[in-house]
Amino acid sequence: MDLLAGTRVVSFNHFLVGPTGAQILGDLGADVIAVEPLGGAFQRNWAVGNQFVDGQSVNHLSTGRNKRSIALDLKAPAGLEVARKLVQGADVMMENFRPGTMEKLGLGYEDMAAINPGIIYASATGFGIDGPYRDRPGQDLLLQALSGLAARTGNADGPPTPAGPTVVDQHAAALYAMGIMAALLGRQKTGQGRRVDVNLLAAALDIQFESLTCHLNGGRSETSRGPGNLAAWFSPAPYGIYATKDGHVALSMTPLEVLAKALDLPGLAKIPEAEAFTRRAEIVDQVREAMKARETAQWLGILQDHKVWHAEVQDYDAVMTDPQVLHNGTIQTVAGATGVPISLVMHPVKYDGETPAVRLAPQPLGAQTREILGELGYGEDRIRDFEATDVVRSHGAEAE
Amino acid sequence: MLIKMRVVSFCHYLQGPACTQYLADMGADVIKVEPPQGAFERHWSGGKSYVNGVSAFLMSANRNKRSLAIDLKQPEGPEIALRLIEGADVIVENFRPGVMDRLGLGYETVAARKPDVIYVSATGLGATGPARDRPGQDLLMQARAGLMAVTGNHETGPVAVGAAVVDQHGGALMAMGILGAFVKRLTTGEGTRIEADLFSSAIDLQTEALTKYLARPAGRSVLERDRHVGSWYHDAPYGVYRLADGHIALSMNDPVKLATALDSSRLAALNGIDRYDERDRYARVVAEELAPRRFADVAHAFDENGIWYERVQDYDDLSNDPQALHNQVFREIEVKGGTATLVNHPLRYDGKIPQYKEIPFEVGQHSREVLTELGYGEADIDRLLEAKVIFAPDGD
Repeated sequence: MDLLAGTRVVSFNHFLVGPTGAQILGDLGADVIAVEPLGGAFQRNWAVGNQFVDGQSVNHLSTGRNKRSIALDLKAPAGLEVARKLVQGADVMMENFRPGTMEKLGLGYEDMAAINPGIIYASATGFGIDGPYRDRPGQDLLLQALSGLAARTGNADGPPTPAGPTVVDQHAAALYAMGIMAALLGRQKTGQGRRVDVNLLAAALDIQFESLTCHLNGGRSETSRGPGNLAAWFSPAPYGIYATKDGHVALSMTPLEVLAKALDLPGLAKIPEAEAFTRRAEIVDQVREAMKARETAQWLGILQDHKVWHAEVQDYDAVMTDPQVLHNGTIQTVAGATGVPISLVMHPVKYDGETPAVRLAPQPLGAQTREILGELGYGEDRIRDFEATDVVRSHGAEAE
Repeated sequence: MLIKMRVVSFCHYLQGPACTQYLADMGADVIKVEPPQGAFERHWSGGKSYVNGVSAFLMSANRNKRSLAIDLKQPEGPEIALRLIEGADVIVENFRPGVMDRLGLGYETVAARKPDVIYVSATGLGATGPARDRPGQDLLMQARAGLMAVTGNHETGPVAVGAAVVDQHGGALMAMGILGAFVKRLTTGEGTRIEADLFSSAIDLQTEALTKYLARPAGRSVLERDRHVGSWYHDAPYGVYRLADGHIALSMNDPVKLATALDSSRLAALNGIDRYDERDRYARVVAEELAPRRFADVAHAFDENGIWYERVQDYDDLSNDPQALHNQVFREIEVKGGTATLVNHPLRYDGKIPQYKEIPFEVGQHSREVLTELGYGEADIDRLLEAKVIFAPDGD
């Protein structure tokens, strides 16, 4: 993929949002250099559910493709000099440390803009680079709690429920990449770099902006979460999930008249469409009873015939073998850096019919340390000296 | 003004409008092409929320755009659209596969007239493939992509995320792809055909969880867990717990610190267990410890011990949240003499939030203006209005 060919990104990122944002730019063809501490970035050494594939963390696998890795001690003067040189020759610098950390290291925005006025300096934080919560931990679940997403998910009779996966992080990463590319375009006019700030709080609100805008402008329901089976507080019936005899089916926006025929509930057809919101609890009760009566496979045929917008609630095993997932190439198995196959969720957008390829599988720590130092003009002796004094680490160096 | 780009948007519902709003916020000139009766989002609004007759759903994703109303089924309609596209950089559409072809505005036709076009199609499940004709809608994609199956717990069954997260994320992914293609166009002069779909967006939101699952597909049992545990793939206590006066979320936390903060010998006794394999057991004890306590007391002890937590807030709390206010995430605007509140663009550039210009409250509010820019004379425009090829608000 060549959309960002010729763009160089230096990524001082860890955890999930930052590495994912940088991976998006790498997928699109940028040369992304991941700068990691000598022990490796957090996501190499920690894995959700303690899941590693041939010694590689799944968190590294899900965020590490299409990047080169350099392991550098930023607290050593020589390490800092290497980092500054990297930024000098880059278009974009990304970081997601707690506010103030980069300044302490001597890699803050003012310092970087002084050595490279064209640099796009992008920061991802939990709550913003300043403000009352700036020092709080920003983590996906906490932002789901704070932002109302948990309070608005689940059933009126049940507790607030977080979305199972890290949807706030993933959305923040897309926004991070988006803002950086906008700034790259803005730079074409003026040559001037820019500061781009994204934070998880903004992403958590942004991902709910339909729901929030409705609430902020007079949309109300008796309860924060929908009654009965409803999927959202702001939706008319039947919008929600219904148990069948052997599984679950989601019913989307559907005129009551159509639903009445499909479910053989003539009473529903007598309710005016305008009352599908105010009488939703009553409607949902009837739909729930009706849906229990048949198996999912039967319902799929009936709902299809009546053109009711519906989908079977699939588990991950079904997603992996879903014919459209296979057709779209959304999940692909490729050779990992250790030679063992790894399965990845690919870049979600196609360009000229193609999904951006895995040019580089998630790399071992410091796999390109030597290569990158060479590009910066350091000679072989200097590189060996850096390795010997623990300024840098190269993959496989001990074995040599 | 961040970027200089003209976008012609044939979009309705949420994903497409959300995409073009990101671009409009960044400074792009976005022209929203609507049918005579107006796009879907003018006539629907969640929770029946309207401000002086203007749909909140419309307001959520259509600011900083201009509205041009054309009847594309009239013979002259598509020609006006093509003239508009010729002078633009990007065309975005989210009709079902095949509709733009039938209107004479398909990729081949447009690319023949404008070889360097960035042509963006957003579909439900993909432009081709076995499910291409199925309806692609947020809730349905949450169902099909597994997002519901991994939200909630074995007591609740599958649970949908209570906001249209797939649509919104899908919009961001499209905007991201367009910006990437625009970088290429400025560098090489070449256009790009971009295809996005909601199904991929729903999967992308779960990248971390899915990558973990793909590494060791373990069937339904691994997804099942105690009702307090917020995700199937994190160690306990990760989840939401009831307090005497509300709910609290606990993120990844050191068990020793947590036992200390809660002054709990029962939790301290569990310090050595594997909190993934035995997450239910650990979570239940945390739940019992937290249930009788009040938020203020817990928060104090948690702050002292560096515990990662947040109170579970509802939307009214959020409107008064000091950090949300500090970040200026909301913006009040005037709507026909009334006041509406919007959620601002999520990014800051040089510390600033992009400016608000306007929302096209009326269908075809900018029809005359846009056609004048395309070189149509006053008489031509009057004739097109008369012939009901284009539309403008009464008296315009």
